[in-house]
Amino acid sequence: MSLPKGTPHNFCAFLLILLFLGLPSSALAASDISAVTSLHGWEEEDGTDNSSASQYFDLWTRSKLGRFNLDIEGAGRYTIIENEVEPGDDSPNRLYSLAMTLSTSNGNGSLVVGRQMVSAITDLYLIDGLRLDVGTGPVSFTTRWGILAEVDSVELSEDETFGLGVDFEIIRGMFLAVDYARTFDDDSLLTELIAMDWTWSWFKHTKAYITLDWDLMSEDIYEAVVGTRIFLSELISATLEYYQNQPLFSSQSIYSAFAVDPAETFMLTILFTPNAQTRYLWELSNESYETGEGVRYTLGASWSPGKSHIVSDLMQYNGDSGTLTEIQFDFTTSLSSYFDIALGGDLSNSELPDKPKIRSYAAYVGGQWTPSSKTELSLRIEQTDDDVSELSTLSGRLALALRF
Amino acid sequence: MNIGKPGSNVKSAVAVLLLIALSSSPLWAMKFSHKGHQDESVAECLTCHKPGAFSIIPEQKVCLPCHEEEELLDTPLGPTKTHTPLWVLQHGPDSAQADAQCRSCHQQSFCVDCHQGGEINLDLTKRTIRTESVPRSHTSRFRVIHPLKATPGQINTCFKCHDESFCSDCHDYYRNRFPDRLKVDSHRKSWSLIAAGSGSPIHEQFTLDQCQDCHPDGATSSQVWSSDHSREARRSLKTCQSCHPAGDACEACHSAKTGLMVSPHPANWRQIMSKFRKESPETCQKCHFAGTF
Repeated sequence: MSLPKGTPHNFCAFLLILLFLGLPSSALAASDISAVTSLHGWEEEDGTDNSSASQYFDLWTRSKLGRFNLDIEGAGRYTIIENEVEPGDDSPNRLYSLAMTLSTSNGNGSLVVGRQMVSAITDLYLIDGLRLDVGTGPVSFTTRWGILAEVDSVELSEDETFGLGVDFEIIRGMFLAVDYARTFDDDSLLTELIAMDWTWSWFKHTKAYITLDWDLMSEDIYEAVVGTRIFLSELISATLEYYQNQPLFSSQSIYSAFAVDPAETFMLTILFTPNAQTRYLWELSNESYETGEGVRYTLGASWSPGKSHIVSDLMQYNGDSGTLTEIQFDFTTSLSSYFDIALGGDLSNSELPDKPKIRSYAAYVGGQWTPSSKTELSLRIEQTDDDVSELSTLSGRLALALRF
Repeated sequence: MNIGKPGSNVKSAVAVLLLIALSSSPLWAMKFSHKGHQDESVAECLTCHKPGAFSIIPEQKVCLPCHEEEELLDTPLGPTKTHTPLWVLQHGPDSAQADAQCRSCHQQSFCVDCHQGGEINLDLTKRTIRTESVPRSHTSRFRVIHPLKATPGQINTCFKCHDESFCSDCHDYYRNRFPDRLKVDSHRKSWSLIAAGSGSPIHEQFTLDQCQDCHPDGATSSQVWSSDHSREARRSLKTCQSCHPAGDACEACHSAKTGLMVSPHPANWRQIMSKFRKESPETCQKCHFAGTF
């Protein structure tokens, strides 16, 4: 017997409504509720004005039920756009998630049931899920099940996911996690993956890690990471990492039968932290494929003198697909206990093979008034421009955040 | 040399590994708990996670005001497996765990700021495009520089937030405004407009059934369009899918039914083909006649 489409979604919604109705009768131990109202205004690239209004909320409550904790958390947003002109503008622009977690006070087990609606810019997905975790000592087990539905006006298509996992602390500081996951619909197995994650911290923050995601359908690596972070001294750390990835397709996609070349990346990162207020970063990564490669350099620094904070990055990419240089800068400071300001921006210069250079920039300035720890009012204005578009554009954001 | 039965070697190896693991495993050690500390009014993250520290894992000296040194030796602080340099690529499964302690330091808006549209914690340095808040990697006018940001090594990252059709929806919208800029390299060559030979008509004037007349078994002369599109597809097949979701464009040359009949399958296809045939025979039938695969 198969359930009609949408049945699990309706069941989860019903269960969550019951829980919310039952919440007032249970012992409420803690709660945190926030709401943000924001207004956005911007110029389209043809010079016309556009705007939107958005309401966002976030809540978390914890109730004590004998030896159990009941956590309910949710977030949601609704947005209205004045003129829907670009792809994605006509999506309902709504997002919500609602989850209930029943856990033992000693942390040995938990059950989560949740629902999430995400606006994926061009499509809308509805995800319902259940998750059960049990563990004691160095071992914990996880099992989970979920349904992901693409909300479509014509029909509701659903994929199911099922996963099993185990986390094991092998010795102090060494952890191994193995996870199996499969996605399927009524007729066939769409993807089947097994992942292994190993981490070993053997001295202070020095560590080594390996992640291996194996696609059981294609019998090939989907993503792999091997790396280590070592401290050369109290002030300097170095991270060396190898990363490999290739795309993953559903068995129902014709692309699952096509040969692909994995992309490999070697990365070296050095962090120098001379004191608690200053940090410098230098990063070099080399990305290579069967028929080409690219090198990315990053230089970054952050300083926190007094009540100010300054962050700056310079990134340069040189590859057979082109060159890109980016500079970013952010400065924030507190003028008083109640008022902060920020200014900054970025510049980029990109060049595709056989094409002219394109420069692009963004600059912003903003202020934030915090009359109390529960109220925040901010205004941010940004200007962007590039060599391709005919007009520069101005955008603004006015937001009021309240916490209860 | 007699190395014994394979099974006994495996059992011995497992026994030795277990012995090594258990001999040093603190099975009786206390587990660090954020929840426990919150109950004891250590609610401020910064009490232990000091600004500017080397790592998000606190140094043990920050525990000393409240704990004895001997006690700390028996309390492993746990891994930070979600905070590696490739955090953005790996945090999904970890953050989905019910006991994930992301909330100890982050509000949920931290997640949805990247995952389409949160607005709580909108600090002044954080930018929004239209109604969506965007990660720091989306600098300037991101649509101008994204061809160089979305390199094959990073492409999986793009599709963690964006649906495949996101690319095609946007390209379709701008195609009329910048007709020359929105084509990938191989498409600019327009193979269908290339002459089939000296003094011959262009490819566009032939039908798919005629391909084999000049290109038996899919053989093609060395030609820019052919090699370019192959390189682009093998590097970044997801981008092909974004504009050609059903793969129809590929079938013109890669179908076994007609056209050039060039096999696109990977080297290990014979080992794995039975799985795909079993799970989705209708996908095979897009390019193969029933009973021939």
